[in-house]
Amino acid sequence: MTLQSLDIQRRSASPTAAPAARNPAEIAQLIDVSVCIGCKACQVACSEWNELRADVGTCVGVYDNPVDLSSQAWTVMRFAEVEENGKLEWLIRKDGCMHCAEPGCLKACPSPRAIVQHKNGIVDYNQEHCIGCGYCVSGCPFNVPRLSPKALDVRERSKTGPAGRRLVRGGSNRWTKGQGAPHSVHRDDWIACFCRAPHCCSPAGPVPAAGNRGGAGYGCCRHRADVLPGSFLRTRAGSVRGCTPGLAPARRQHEDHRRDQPIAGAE
Amino acid sequence: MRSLGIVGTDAQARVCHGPTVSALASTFGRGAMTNTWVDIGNADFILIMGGNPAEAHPVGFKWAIEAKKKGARIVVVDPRFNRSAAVADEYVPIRAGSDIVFLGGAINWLIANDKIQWEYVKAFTNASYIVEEGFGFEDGLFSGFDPAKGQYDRKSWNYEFDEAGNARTDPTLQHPRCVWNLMKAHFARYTPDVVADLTGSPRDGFLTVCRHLGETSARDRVGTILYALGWTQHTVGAQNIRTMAMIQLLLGNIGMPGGGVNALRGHSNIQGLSDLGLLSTSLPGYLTLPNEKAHPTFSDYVARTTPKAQQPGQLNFWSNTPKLFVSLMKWFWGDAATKDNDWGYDWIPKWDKMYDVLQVMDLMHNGKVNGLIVQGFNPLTSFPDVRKTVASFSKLKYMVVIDPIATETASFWRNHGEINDVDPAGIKTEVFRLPSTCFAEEDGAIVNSARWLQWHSKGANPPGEARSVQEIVAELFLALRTLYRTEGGKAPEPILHLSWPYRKPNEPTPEELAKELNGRALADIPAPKDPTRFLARKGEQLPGFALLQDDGSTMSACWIFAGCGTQAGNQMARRDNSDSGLGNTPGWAWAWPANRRIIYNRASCDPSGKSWDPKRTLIAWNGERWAGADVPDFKIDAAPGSGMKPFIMNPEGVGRLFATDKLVDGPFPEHYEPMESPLGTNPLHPKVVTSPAVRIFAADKARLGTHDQFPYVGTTYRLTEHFQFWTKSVALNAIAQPEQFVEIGETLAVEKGIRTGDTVKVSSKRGFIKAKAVVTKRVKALTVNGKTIHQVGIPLHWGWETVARKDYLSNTLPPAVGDCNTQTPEYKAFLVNVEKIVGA
Repeated sequence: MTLQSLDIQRRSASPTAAPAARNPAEIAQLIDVSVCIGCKACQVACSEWNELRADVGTCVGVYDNPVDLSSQAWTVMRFAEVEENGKLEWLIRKDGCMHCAEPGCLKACPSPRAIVQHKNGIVDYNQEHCIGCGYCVSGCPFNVPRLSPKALDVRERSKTGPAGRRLVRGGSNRWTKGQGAPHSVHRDDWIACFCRAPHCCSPAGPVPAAGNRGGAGYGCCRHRADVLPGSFLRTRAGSVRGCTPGLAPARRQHEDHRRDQPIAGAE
Repeated sequence: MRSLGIVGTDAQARVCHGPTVSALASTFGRGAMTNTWVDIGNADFILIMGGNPAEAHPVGFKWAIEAKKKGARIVVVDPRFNRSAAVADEYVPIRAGSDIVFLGGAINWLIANDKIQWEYVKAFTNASYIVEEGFGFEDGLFSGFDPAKGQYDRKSWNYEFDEAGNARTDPTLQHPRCVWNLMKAHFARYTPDVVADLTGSPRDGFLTVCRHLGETSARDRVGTILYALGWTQHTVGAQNIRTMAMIQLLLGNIGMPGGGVNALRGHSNIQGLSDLGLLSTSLPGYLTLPNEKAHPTFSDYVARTTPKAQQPGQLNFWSNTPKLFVSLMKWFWGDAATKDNDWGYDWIPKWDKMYDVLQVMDLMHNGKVNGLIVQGFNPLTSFPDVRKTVASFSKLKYMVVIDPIATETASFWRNHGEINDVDPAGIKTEVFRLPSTCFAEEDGAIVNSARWLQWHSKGANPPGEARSVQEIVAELFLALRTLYRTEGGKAPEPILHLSWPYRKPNEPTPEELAKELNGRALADIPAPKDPTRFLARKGEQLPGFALLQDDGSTMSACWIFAGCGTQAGNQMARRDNSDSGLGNTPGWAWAWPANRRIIYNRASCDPSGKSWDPKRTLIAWNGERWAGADVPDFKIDAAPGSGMKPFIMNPEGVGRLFATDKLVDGPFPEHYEPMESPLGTNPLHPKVVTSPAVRIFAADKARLGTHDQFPYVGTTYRLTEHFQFWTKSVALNAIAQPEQFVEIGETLAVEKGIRTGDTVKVSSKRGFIKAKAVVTKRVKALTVNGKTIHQVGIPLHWGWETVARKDYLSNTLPPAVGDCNTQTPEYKAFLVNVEKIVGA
C-alpha cells in the first residue's frame, strides 16, 4: 500500500501509457455537506499540513477568509446565503482541488509530468516540472488552480526583463538561473490547488466513500440536498466525489515522496 | 488564597456560566450540565436556544448531528441565523433579551394543550406543594419587595409546613395555592400573541417549537436543550435557564437519557473552576464560604447550611454538610484543625459582600483597591465597559499578570490611538508579568462540560522562563509565610497553620494535588455495622465521599471529586471506552459525583422503578438494588416504595417548579426587559420595566443609554475560528478570521447606506468600536410591540496583542450590570447605534 499510492495513472503532456501491472484500490473522500458547519478546521489543517500561511487579510464583508484560494491557501471555505420560498439557507462549501476522474488541469498542462494522476485517484502537482504557464488555471472546470504572485513575477521577468534574465530548465529537473534570475523561488509556491489534509470537526463531515467508485476528490453540493449520505456532487465524469479520512496514509507518502525530491532553487 | 484572608477574589465563571449554577441548583439540586455530550445523541428533539454549539462547541456538536442522523429534529432559536441554524431543521428568530417570554409562552402552551408528563410531574416535582399564604405576584412584582433597598424580602416565597416540618401538599392539585395552580396562573399571560409581540418571533415558528417540545411529554419521546452564554449573560440570566429547567420537568425529560438541560461550558476547565470554588463566596465542592453576619461561628455555619428534610424519607444529601466541611477544614489546616478549635473555622475569612468582578471593578474605580493579581485571565477584554476597566486599572498601585501569552490586561497602559486612547505617562500602575505554562505544557485533569475529569500528560516543556502556576503561587505563598514567621504580622495563624505537605514545597505536583482533592483517611474508618472491619485504613486514599467523616478522621479538598484518585489509582486517567449502554462509558476518565454520568437518573424510571421508556433503560430496580448502565444517582438500596424521591440534593426530594426562596428575583421566572431596552417599556407591566432585583452601581447607571439615542439591539458572541481572546495570537486563526466585524441585517444596511465590507462605527453610551460591516440575510429586522427592531451582531475576538489586525475591544460596548443572582454581565442585549464611516 505504501508505494502503491505512487503508481501513476496518467501524467500531463505524456502520451506514453502508464504501466498497468498493478491496480491499487482507489480512495475517495466525501464531504456530507448537509452536516458541515463551516468550522474551517479542514482549511486550517490543510495549511498546517502543507506548511502554508496566507497573509492575515481583511474582512471583506463575508465569513470567507482567506477570501480566495492562493498559493498559500489551498483550501478555502465558501459561505453563501440563499433565500428560496421564504426559507433561508446558509450554504457552506469547501473550495479546493476536486481530484477529478478526468482532470482538466492535467489535460491542459503542456509540461510533461507537471500534473499527474495517481492510481489511487489523487491528482497531484510536481512543482519541479512546472513551467508556470497557467494553462491548468484555464483547464480546471472548478476554477481552483491559482498562480502565485512569485510565479507571475518570474514569468513576467523572464519575458520582459533585462537581457540574460530568463529561466531555463536544468538537466536534473531543476530550475537553474540565468543572470539576474530570482535566487530563491521555491516552486512549491507556484500553484495552489491540491489538498492533502482533510480534517473536520463535524463527525459526519468527511465520511468514507461507499466502495471504490471515485477518485480521491472532494465533493460539495448545495447544503440541503434532501438526502444525507450519497448527496454528493457528481463531476463531469459522473463519478462520485468527496473526501474521506482514509486519505491520511496516502498523504503521508506524498510528503515522504516530496521530501525525497530535490528542492527547487536550492542550489 | 483563603489562608491569606482574601475575600476579594473572583473567576472566569463569573462572566460565563454563573447563572447556570444558581438556576440548575435551585431547581434540581446541582448546578451542572445534567447529561453528557455523548448522550445528546440519544435525543428525539434538540432545542438550541441561548447558545450556538456548532459555532462555539464544534466538536461536541457532533452528538447533535448523531441524533439528527437517527431522526431527531433540531430547532434553533436565536437572534441570528448562525452556524447551528445552517444544519438545523428549523430556525426561529428572536429578539435578544426576550427568552423568558418565549419559554414562558411554551409553558403556557404545554399546560393549555395538556402536553405534560403527568405521572412524572405529580411524583417528581413540587407541583402539589402548597405555597404560603403571603406569596403573590402583582404588576410585575412578587410579594415582599422593598423599593428602598431594591431587594425582595423572600420570607413568603416558601411552602406551608406542618408541625413536623414537612411541606404540605395536595396530590390532587386542586388547592388554589398549590404550585401547579400558581404556575398556571402566572404563565397564562404569556399567550402566543404576547410571545409574537414581545419576542418578534413569528407565531408559526413559536408554535412549531411548542409542538416539538410537547411531543416529548410522551414516555417514549425525549428532548434536550443545548444552551450556553446566550441565556446566562442577561440581568435575568438565571431565570432564563430556570424557565427551561421547568419545561423539562413538565415534560419529564430530566434524568432521562437524551434529555436534560445541557449547559455547554466553553472555556476549557471552566466546570472545574466552578467545582473548586474559585468564585467569590464559594468553597470547593459548592460549599458556601462563611458569611460574617450569618455564620459568625462554626455552629452557626453548620446549623444554617445543613438543611432538614422537608418530606419524610428523603435522602437530603446536604444533611452531610458537616462531614464535607470538616474534611475540607482538615485539608486546609491539617493537624492544626481540631475539634477544640472548631476545625480552624476562625481562620477561614468571612465575606461581608460578594466580590464579583463588577463589584471589584467598581471598588477599584473608586480607588479602594491597591493591587490586583490576574492569573490565566484577560479581564480587560472580558469585562464589560472597557473604558471603565482601563480607568479602574489606572488607579491600582500594582498588577501581577500570570499568563502564557501577552494580554491586553498587562498592556492596558499602552496607547493604541483610538483603540486604546490612554496617556501612559499619567498611569502609575506597576505591572509585573510572570509567564506561565499553558495546559499542553503540564500534567493534570481538565473537567469538561459533562463533569468528566480527564487526566492528560504534558505534551511539551514550557518555553523560556515560563513556570507552572502551582510553582508561582507556591513560591509567593512560601515567601509570605517566611515573612510572617520572621517578622510577625496581624492574624498570622491562618498562614502559619496552612497545611503544606508537598514533597517539594515550592513545587506541588498535579498528582499531589489530585490526591488531596480526592481525600484520604487520617485514621482507620471502621464499618458502621461491623467495627472489626474497616472501610479505609489510616493514610489510604478514600474510595468516595460516602466515607467522609465529621470527626476529623478524613480529609478531602473537594468532596465532589472524592473517587477521582483512589487506592486503585488515578481514575481520571482511565481510557476504557466500552459502552455500558446508551453511549455510557463508565471506564473512560471519571465523572463527579461518584462517576455518575447522567445525574438525577432515578427519574428515568417511574415511581415503581421501571424505566419510563424501555428503549432508554439506563438504570432500574432489580428487586434488591438499583443497577444498570450508569451509576445510580440514588440511595442504592432504597426500594421504589420507600418514598424517597429522585432529586436527592433537595431536602424535599423533588424538582422545583416553584424555586421557593433560592433565587433573589422570584420563585417563578418573569420577563423583564434588558437594562437597555429597545422598547423603553415592558408591555406586561409598564411600571416595572427592568428586573427590580438588579444591583447596579451609580457610576454604571449613569452610563446606560436609551433607545432614542441608541436605537439598535447589540449582542456579542464568539466565532468558531477563534477561542476567546487567545487565538488572535495564533497565525492560523488570525488568517481564518482576521478582523473585527459586525453583522447587520439588509434592511438596516439599506437604511444606513451601508454596503457589505464598509467600515462602520458602532457606539453605545460607553464608547465605540470601528469594524467591518457584514451585511447579511441572516439577521432580520423584527417587529416588536409595533416597532421595527434591528439587531447588530458583534463578535468579540480581537484586540491589540495580536497577530491578526489590531482592533478595538468589543466589550467597550456592553454595560457593567449583571444577572440579579450571580452578577454575570449583560453582554447579550444592550443598545447601540451604527453609522457608516465615510471615507474609511
